[in-house]
Amino acid sequence: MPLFGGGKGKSASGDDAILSIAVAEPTLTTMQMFTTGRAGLTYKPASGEAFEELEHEVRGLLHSGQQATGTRYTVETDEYGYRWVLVADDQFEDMAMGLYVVGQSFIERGGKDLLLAAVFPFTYQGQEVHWIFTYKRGAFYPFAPVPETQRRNNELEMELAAKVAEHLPVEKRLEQWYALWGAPFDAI
Amino acid sequence: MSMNPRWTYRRDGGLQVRMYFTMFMLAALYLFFVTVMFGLGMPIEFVIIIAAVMLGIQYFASDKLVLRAMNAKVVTPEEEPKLHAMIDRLVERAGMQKPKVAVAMTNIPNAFATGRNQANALVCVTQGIMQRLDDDELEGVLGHELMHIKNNDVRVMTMASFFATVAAMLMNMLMWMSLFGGMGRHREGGGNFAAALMIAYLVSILVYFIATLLILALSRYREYAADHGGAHLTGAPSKLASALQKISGVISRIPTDDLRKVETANAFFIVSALKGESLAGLFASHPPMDKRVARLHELARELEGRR
Repeated sequence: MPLFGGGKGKSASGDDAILSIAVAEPTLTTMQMFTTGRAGLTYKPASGEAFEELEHEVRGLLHSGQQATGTRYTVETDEYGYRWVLVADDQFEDMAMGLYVVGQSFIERGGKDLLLAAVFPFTYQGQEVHWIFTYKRGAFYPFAPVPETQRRNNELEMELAAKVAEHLPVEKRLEQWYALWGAPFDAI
Repeated sequence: MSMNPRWTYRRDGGLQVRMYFTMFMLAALYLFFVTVMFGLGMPIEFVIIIAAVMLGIQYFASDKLVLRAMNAKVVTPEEEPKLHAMIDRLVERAGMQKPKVAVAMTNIPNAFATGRNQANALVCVTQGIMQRLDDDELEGVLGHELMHIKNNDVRVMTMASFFATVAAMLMNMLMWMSLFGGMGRHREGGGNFAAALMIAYLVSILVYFIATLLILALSRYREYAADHGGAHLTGAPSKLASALQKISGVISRIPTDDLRKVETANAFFIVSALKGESLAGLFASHPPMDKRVARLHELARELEGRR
């Protein structure tokens, strides 16, 4: 399957970066950052049989995940036309693993370019902080929307990025910290 | 020329570049026009009248020209109630007429004031600045802009620009007199004529360019003055200081655009990575932001002491 030599394990090192949040989560908890018990992965839907097969496979994976670990899931389409795979689980690790597996299906079937981001919403001192992982850059950055506005708390984002830098691969180019407004977490 | 809006922040990207580019192009066009007229042997009085009319148009239409150039539009109190309420409070405290209020559709955080007098004044903020600043900081910025209006900065700068234009015109005339004075307006050498025209034009541009640098220096002093006045108006200089830091500092690099929007746009534009920012350095007149912030903090301490 892999186009550029090497075994699956090796070539996937950049794609595995998403799992570092599962490793970091206990540390985030000690920093007063708490998971909301939900997470999501968003991708751009394509057309064609191959893509339909891919989506079918993804649903299959999510379904067996629900059987095995009790990770609930749902699929939504947002106003930009992006599809969201949303998962909910008290076990953060199961959630992260679920999204990792979904992402791997895309990558293995040559759909990596369709993957936009995985989002892990946390709370920190009563504020919403989303850790956004972009597949293109293989790194995380914080997104702290101020409720009921189109503003984000940049100071808090900078503060938290500095705090977790040792535990999470943080996107160094601030120009890449794009917002993701209104992720449909209410759907799950 | 008279299209000098009073920007709060000098070191920003595309907007300012566009602004200067527009100003420069207008001036170049204008000088080119005058040069050609001289070259064709128009009477000097006639040229001066035309020049005055052109300057007049710019002077009286500057606010509209700026709005067009900045992709901004005037907003009503219904559209932007909070912004209007803030300005209402400030103008009342400053004892001045309320200017028109406009919003520019751009993510680059900035604000400016323009208009030839208080009755025709306009304050414009970008969407980017409203998204990034909290209310107190935005009030600090608006205080600064209103002070530009109250200090008649647009008129002062227009005058300064006018003299720069006149200086350029004078140079132009001197060039012509020295080249053709002795010849008694004979036009036998067509090649000489074209070369002289070119030289006169280049000299005019040079003069105008130097004058622009001087005008920028003058403008920096007006910035400090507006910082000072605005600080007294809002009574909270530290809020303007934190606004300046927020906007000029590292934080301003964090985008407010949505990832999905950017991805979709990138699919259509090849040069998506090329943003105005790289050009900004070229025109940065950088009145040291640190100094401005330091002065504002000093002011804050002064105001504290007086209470």
